[in-house]
Amino acid sequence: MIQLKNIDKYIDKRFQRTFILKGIDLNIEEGEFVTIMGPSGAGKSTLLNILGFLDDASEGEYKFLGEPVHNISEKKKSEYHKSHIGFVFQAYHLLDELTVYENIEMPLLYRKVSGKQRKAMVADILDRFNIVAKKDLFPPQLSGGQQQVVGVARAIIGNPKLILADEPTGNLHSEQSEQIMEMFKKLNDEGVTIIQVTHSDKMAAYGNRIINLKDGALVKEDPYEETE
Amino acid sequence: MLKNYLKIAFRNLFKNKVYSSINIFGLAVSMSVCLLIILFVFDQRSFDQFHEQKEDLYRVIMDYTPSSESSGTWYATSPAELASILEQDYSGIQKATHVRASFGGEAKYSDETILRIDGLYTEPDFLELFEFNLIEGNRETALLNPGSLILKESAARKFFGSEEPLGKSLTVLGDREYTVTGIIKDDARSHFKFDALASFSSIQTEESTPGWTQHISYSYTYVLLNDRIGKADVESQLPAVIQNNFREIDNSSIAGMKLQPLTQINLGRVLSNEIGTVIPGVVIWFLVAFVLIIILIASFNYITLTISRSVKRGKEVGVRKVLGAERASIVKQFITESLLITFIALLGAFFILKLLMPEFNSLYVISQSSTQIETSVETNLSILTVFLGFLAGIYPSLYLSKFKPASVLKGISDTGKSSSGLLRKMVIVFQFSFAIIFIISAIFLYRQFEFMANTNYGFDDEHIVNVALQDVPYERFRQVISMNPSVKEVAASSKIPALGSVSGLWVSSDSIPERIRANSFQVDEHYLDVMNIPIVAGRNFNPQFGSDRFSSVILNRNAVKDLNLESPEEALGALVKVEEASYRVIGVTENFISSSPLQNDDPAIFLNDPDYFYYAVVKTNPGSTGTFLPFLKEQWYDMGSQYSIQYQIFNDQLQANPIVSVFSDFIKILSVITFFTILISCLGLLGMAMNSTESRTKEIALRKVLGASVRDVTLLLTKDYLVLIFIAIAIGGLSAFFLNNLWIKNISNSIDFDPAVFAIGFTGTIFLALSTVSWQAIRAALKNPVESLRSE
Repeated sequence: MIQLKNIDKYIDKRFQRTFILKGIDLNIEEGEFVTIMGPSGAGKSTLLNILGFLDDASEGEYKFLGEPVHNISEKKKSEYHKSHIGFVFQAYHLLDELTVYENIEMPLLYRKVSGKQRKAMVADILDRFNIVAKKDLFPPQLSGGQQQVVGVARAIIGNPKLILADEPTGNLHSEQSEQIMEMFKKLNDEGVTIIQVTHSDKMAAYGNRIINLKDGALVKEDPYEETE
Repeated sequence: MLKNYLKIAFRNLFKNKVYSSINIFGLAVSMSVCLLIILFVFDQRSFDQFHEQKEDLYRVIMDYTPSSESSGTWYATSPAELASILEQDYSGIQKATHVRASFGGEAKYSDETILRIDGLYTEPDFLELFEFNLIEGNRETALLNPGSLILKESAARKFFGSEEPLGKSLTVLGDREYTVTGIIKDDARSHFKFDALASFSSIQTEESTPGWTQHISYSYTYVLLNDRIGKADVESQLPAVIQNNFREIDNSSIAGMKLQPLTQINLGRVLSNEIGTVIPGVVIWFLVAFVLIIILIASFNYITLTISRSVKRGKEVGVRKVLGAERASIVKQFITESLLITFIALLGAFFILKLLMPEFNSLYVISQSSTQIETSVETNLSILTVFLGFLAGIYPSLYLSKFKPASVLKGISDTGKSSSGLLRKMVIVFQFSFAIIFIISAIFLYRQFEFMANTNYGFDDEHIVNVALQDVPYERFRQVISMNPSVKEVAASSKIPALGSVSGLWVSSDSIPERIRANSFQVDEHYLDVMNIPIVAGRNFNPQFGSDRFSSVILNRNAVKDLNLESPEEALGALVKVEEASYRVIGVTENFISSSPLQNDDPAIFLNDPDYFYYAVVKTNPGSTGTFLPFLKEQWYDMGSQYSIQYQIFNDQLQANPIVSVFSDFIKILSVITFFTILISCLGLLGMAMNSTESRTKEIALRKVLGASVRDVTLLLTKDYLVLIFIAIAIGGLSAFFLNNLWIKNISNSIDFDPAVFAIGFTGTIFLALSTVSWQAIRAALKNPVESLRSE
């Protein structure tokens, strides 16, 4: 599903080039549940952003579903965001001015799904995630865990093939974290590819493959070793 | 989707009440001014739109250039004969009609009702060219016979009440008897202003003056072109028309003629001898400029406030993009939002408009032009709203939609901060520059207004009643009125000074190469005494010397100077030419204001021809005007006048001076604009100050923890704004200096160019700006640092 070949990401500052990612080669098959781990500043989020078209790689080749996608147009990117990729953020990033229902509904609006169908789909998700009672509340009225549940619900309502989660449990306590990871596990079982970034071994254990990142490069060994 | 946009827009509006109210209020104020001007312009443009053939209707205007002058003046009038010549001999012209504005006077109905009516003398085809709605009478014949009169509905009602007006007789005093042959509906919006139309044949039969056909300043010529033949074609024939027919007039002083489209008469060019009050197009440009400034100031507020809050909205943009929104749909969303805000502002604008409207209608200029605007425009409102919504919304939406989700979602807030910071600074400078220009100009104008209202005219205006003599001989009036013990003295004059209108005469002397135009007054020997205009050299007119009537002139000091006659003493005995006749200078008076309170350097001359005694100037004993007036009214008809009495108390007349009124109109308009500009600018400043203190809470807290005092922090937060205000003061101050210098230098009876006005303007602005900003700054400085540091 995803093929990265020699991906570099760097920032040019005056006479110095700082590499965030260097020479990343990575293949991820459909149906995998991949965890990216590494210390702060290793480039995990950048890698995730590149995978989700939120950021462009400086060099290298990126094929998504067999199609070369480095330097694709803005329009094409939003096409992919609409239909193929769902995002889950550490800070949830729900819109405070919209209710739970409206937050979940939003991706469908951009996909121009008809009103009737929207209603059915949102109702279904609310039901599945057990948050029907909360549908008319605004995000600040919910706990962090509940907000993240809404975040996940929003990410998957468009039936994406890929979910990108940037430290989805970073702000949650363990019980809530487990709930979210169980959800991911279940989705993965249903065939959705999941890539998550995390610091926690416990959360990583839910996945079936771990990628270690250190100073912008993929490493075999445990990246935390040195820092500990 | 639209529902979603509106939902989030509304919720944002309510969540940020202060920002929303600043935005909405600012836009509402500017829109109300804008609406007012739009209403006015549309009302004015609707003039003469109801004529079916308006595209082919023109008025002939004339360039009158006397042989002694190098450049001429354009007149709305044309030779009396022109219409009939054009109609007969030129194929491009389907019809031509001839209009005179001189009809009018007091009209009497059945010995009881005496009312003043004014109107036009017109030919029968007037009603063929212009589609005035004739609700009674026959269109073809109503203006045919001598003594035919068409009345406006309202005028007819005044005379006849509910009686049938058709066939009734009215006597116009000093003119003749007329029979009502038609009634015109009142509703027409036209540059023709009249209560009545009289048949042209009524004067033609009476006119016995030889050569009347050559008169050029009474008649207006309107033509209907053949719709196949263009305006340019007809215009190209006009030089030949002049050549063949009007060569004799004042040694070919008619230098050219043009066709002026009927619909462009109102709001058109400024012409001499205009038919009634016409609002010149320039006025509109002034108003439009004011409106544009105010709209820009309000939209800039919207733009900068929206952008300064982009940290918050940026996150939303990021989320939406991640969920699949394209840039276009983000732009659409923010434009929708600004449209919504402008729409809400529109409702507010209506409210403010209701308050402004009566004030606007009571402006002198507006009340004079008999156009009262009403709140009945729906069509163009939507255009205005959409236009403003786009104007205010386009930049912020483009700016916000550019945000990259990867960076805004991470919380990097300074995306493009430097550029928007510069924009904000420029906006503050722009707004306050205008605020300063307006404040200073308004103060200067107000001072000039006060100055004119209390100006020293150079003559007495107390205890004086001016009576229009009309058909009463001056000697008889003087004889009767002088008997009253309240009356101190009675004098005669041809003109009341300082009311804005003058009658000028050409005066020349051997000492100057070019003749000068002097304001002339035909007065008797009592006039200078009654008006208390001191004679500085020589003597007054004296009836004992029979020669004074035809050969003596009294000058004022300005006339002596302009005629280059050295000193008043040396001027005595000098010969001057007034028009074509020679006069000897017998006296010189002190200067006085002869034309308008704006000018105190006009030359003026006094002559002594009783043929021109149009007014009696009655000086009463102090405090006895009240007893004199009933006496005057009582005696008036005994003096054998067929007209009703017309008198004015000089004091009141000077107070109601049209020039002063126009001036006060301008001050009123400018004050409103100034107030709104300052208000909107300060609101914008407040919004920005709030935002910058908000986004600097953490910095402020850190500084306080590290030992900064409340004063230090306040200073830190206000310093940046102060610099901007000083830049605005420099720009605005300079512009105000040049603008006000321009008009102050051009009127002679003006206030001094007082630097104190600038000082007032500057300190006022600094005070307002500082109190706006420091309020926020002090609030932020007083906040407990622990709270702000914890909250992050």
